[in-house]
Amino acid sequence: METCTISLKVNGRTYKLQVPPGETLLRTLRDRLGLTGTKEGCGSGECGACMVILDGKAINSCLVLAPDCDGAEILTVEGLAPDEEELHPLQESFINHGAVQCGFCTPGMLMSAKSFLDKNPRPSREEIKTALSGNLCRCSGYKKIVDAVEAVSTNSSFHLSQGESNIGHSFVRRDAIEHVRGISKFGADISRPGMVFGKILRSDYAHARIKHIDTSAAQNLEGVLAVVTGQDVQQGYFGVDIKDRLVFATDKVRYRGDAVAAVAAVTEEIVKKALRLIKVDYEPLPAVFDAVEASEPRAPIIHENLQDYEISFDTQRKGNVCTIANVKLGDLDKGFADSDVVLEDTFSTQIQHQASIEGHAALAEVDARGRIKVWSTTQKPFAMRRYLSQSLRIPISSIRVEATKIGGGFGGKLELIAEPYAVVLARKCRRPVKIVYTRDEEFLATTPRHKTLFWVKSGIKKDGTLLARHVKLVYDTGAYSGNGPTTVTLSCQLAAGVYRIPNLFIEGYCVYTNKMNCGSMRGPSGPQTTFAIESHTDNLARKIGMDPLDFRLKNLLEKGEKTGVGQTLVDVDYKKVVNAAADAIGWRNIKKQENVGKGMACIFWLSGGWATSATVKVNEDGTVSLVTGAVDMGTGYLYTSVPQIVAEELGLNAEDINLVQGDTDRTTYDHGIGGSRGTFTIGRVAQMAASKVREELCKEAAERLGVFPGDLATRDGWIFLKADPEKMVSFAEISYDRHIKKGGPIFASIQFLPEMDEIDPKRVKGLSFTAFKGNTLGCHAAIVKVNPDTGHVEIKRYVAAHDIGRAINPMAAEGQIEGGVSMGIGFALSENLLIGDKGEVLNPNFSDYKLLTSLDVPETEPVIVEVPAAYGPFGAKGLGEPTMAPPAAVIGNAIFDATGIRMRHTPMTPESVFGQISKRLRK
Amino acid sequence: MIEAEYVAPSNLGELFKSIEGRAERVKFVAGCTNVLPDLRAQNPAPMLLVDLTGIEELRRIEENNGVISIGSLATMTELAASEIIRTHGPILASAARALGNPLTRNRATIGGNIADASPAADTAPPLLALEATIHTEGASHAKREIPVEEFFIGPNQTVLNQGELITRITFPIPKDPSASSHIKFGLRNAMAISVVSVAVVLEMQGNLCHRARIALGSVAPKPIRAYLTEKELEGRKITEEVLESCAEVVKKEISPITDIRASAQYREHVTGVLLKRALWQAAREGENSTNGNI
Ligand SMILES: Cc1cc2nc3c(=O)[nH]c(=O)nc-3n(C[C@H](O)[C@H](O)[C@H](O)COP(=O)(O)OP(=O)(O)OC[C@H]3O[C@@H](n4cnc5c(N)ncnc54)[C@H](O)[C@@H]3O)c2cc1C
Ligand code: FES
Ligand code: FES
Repeated sequence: METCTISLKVNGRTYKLQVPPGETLLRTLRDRLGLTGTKEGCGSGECGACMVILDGKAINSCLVLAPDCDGAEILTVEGLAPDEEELHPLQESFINHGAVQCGFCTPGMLMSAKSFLDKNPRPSREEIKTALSGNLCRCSGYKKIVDAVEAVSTNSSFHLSQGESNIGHSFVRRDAIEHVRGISKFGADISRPGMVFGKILRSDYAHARIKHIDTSAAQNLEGVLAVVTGQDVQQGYFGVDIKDRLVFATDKVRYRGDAVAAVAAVTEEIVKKALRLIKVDYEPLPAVFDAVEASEPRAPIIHENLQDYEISFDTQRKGNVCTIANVKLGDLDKGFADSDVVLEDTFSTQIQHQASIEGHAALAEVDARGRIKVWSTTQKPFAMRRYLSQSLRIPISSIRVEATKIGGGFGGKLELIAEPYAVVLARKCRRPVKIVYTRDEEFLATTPRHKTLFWVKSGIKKDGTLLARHVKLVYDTGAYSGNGPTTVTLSCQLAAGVYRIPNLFIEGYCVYTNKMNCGSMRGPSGPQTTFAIESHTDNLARKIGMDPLDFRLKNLLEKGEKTGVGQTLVDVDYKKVVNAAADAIGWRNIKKQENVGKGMACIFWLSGGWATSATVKVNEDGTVSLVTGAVDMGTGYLYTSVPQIVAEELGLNAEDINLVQGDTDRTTYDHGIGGSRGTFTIGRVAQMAASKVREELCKEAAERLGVFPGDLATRDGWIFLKADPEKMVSFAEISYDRHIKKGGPIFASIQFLPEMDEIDPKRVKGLSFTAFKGNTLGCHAAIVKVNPDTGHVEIKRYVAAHDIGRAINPMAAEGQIEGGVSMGIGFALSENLLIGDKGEVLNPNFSDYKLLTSLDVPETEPVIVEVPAAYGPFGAKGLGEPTMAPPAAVIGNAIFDATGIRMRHTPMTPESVFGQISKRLRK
Repeated sequence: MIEAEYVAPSNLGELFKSIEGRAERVKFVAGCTNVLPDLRAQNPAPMLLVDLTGIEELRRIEENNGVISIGSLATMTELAASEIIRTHGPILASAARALGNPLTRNRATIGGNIADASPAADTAPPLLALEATIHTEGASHAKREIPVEEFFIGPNQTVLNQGELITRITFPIPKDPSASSHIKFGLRNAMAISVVSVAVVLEMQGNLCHRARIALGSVAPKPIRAYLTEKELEGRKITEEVLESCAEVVKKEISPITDIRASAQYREHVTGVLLKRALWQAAREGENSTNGNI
């Protein structure tokens, strides 16, 4: 191929390069110059992650040909700071305002902001939002980013709340500085000497028998190093609860995206070419895409051997239904008979995708002894190692998984995705193999949120007392069960809502269809169940002419009462949270205006448990390292609240805590991050380890000072006598002596498997797990305006109140709330992964899978409520997930208040809202 | 990556020389905001990429004797900021501001937008309403002047021959007193391909509409003029009743499709809503509005 000679001046340095004519500037910067601070989120101009400044203009480097930049001057994020010491004011401001979450969008955001402020140094907030509207952020909800840019433009400094304690102040993220400098290594940024590229051949059919695969032409293509199909590797079935899946489809493909073969070659172009040369002979089978149709007796069967699959819990399986879960309580018939009003509703929800701006990436390398190292964007390194072992029949001892920085997880990075293919290819060609998913692969073949269908029937007394409820809920899990059974289990727990209902029957079904396998997106089952249940709750209140706020206050569960499954509520105050939201929005004083309405909705959630462990060790200089097998998927808990907890327990500054994380060789076990367990569970185990270390430090200090350990206190790395603070000794002194002179270093390792709460076993059947501790409530409220001509819904105000037990780091908590709400509004109004009638994804891109931009997300007003949990570290509870559950119900209820129209399907697009308005007009 | 040869001429003379005899393989590239995503999605035959961005003479925006001339390489950012365009073709400035997002607007050119000929091309309705002319130059310097109404044939199809270059786009400054308005309706406030867009230019006498030019995007296989609706309006006062009848008439001349963004039915309805609003705005305020929350 012909090449062009070009000269680029990048960050002040001139490079002379030979590039092929079709190469994009993004590839040149990343692959040739090693400037991986510039990210790829889509490769087609739709996300802004690749933004750089080219001759003074902000542009997407994925849409510029490198030859076109001959002679040009380019500034990337690596060149933004004046030097090693000092940061650019924008970088500083992003860190201090909590504008960096996972950090993947950060380089693009910074460059956009810089080029904008260079031209327009005193912009309005709206202008800032417009300037950033080409940069998608999945984590933050944009508010803190706009704050950060605004602060630079107004030259206002930002003072983080500082206090005596490490707890309750907005300690900035330790890793933010790496993100703003563009030096964090995300999955795609890692490379190894001799590395080659891998890619997966996917099924073109939603359901078909594989008759024959011919890979000979691909094998013979120059530059191809390995071609692998299911015939070439030993495979084992894997799955979260039901082991129903293979890495390579061998007999059948079950969705358009199922992996059939994989190729490794020296360049990505050759890999693509080789994939086209593989001939697969399919015999198409009838396919089914709708969960209700799939449940019918004559539906095509997707897993003929369903009954034979290994399963981790007890449930019924039938046809395409892989889980039937029930919650039963009281006497349903009597409950309905005693009711004054009985109301039925149906609701449905769409497929929502995690759509992290960073896609999945995996790199596998095999050493001389055959031991495999995998770098992965996984949220669960230890589980990943286990899954790899199960699925490829490799001993666990031969695998090491190291988590990279994660550019947003949201539950999308929990399962085997690219990893096993990188492993089989690397084993075959004995070269490191990297696989990076393209944006369309993300949408085709990863694990989005389940599409669902709800039927809800409730009976109430005239005064609003809830007497009975019957719910049927159907989860479309796609071609494999994945996290489906768990999600159905959760949904059954949530479907009673946050209310006292004496007679209850909830039936949950998890059904296979010929679509991608759905999984655990942030708050799995939360948005779906809340949309159905809380919309229905408003319908009940309206039916008897009661204010929805009063209806809720009347029926809310109280401390000491039992939830639907029989979990006893401790450390909660639901009313406090609901009132906090109502007060913040001024619920009772909102004046009625035409086409404007208010709505609210609640969600209860649990703080995930599962096993974990941690080591806290004191270094020779008195600083501390925290070693954990957990990772941070971008929420920042490992860089904020966990070190704050450890520091507080020890009497140290959080800045002095170093972190080692997410590596199956160098750390001890953690279950994996998800289920809002970060602060609650990892924070707790770290606190326990820190407490042991403190004990030992104090023992040592007591000996030296000749006092009792109980007389001592610790602060800022010193141990002193409470009665006489002048008498003191430093961590450093003690630790140094222990390392060098006697006794050996001080450290503590703790293992911890949080207990599950008790539930009433008589009430449940077919659930895949029981109930976690750390019950918490969220209540959101909003004011919306509906345009009756187009159906467009505008959110005027949005308030989100959450009980987080104890705000270890208020800024990080606000960031979680703002980001979660923005994702929830996306679910409510715009995001929808569409499947065509042949099972194809119709919108596998950011152009038509519509994430909200900075111009679409309203400025959420977070309200933090603190009802401490005895079980959580310093009282903290989980927060990440419940934040995104309420918006659809809130907005649906507000639309009803504004127009009298009840929306029953998400997303509530202008067209669907208008459709309902015009239906009513026709009546 | 694409297999290609690459040339970056710095003037038109060089350009035509470099493509001589190879016109059938030529792919012009300007801002690349359509070209690169397209090439990524397809698996194209080897081609000759002709990078236009070095040709300064294609960038100029100027006024000559009542005619506005826009070089095909003018970007959306430049159009939106240009005093000339904001004064004499505010609906075009409004459309340029509404395209994609700021990063795209810094690269996307007007020539690329109309050559790509998406039915949703944002600059097309204003150009149609302004009765613009497309100036082209082909191999052996054959020049053509094509009225924009004749330029589009269907989705991504134009009357351009292979290797024929758009050099500039011109339109006459609308006669005074004129009023115009442009509205784009998309599913997000940024990065939204339009569901419907409307541009109108009216010559008014008081409340009486003398002459109307109405153009629509995303409601037919190509951007269109709404001739019947123009007839309906001309010679009448702009009243609610007249607007209603325009909204009825326009439905007869559009042929929207159902796609993943909207159904044909909804597009038809929204066309009426936007048309009424655009005409009302133009008549009452002589102002422009872009999308906005509607
Ligand atoms: C994120 C994103 C959002 C977008 N949003 C919108 C939107 O909202 N509305 C919209 O209308 N478009 C949108 N687009 C499409 C695109 O940006 C526009 O069509 C743009 O104007 C194309 O111009 P360009 O200079 O980038 O063209 P290029 O990509 O360089 O070229 C486009 C086509 O035109 C041809 N061409 C270019 N210049 C000439 C010339 N002078 N003579 C002859 N042929 C030529 C090329 O060969 C090619 O076929 C979007 C694109 C992206 C990536
Ligand atoms: S990677 Fe360039 S815009 Fe997304
Ligand atoms: S911080 Fe913006 S995408 Fe994660």
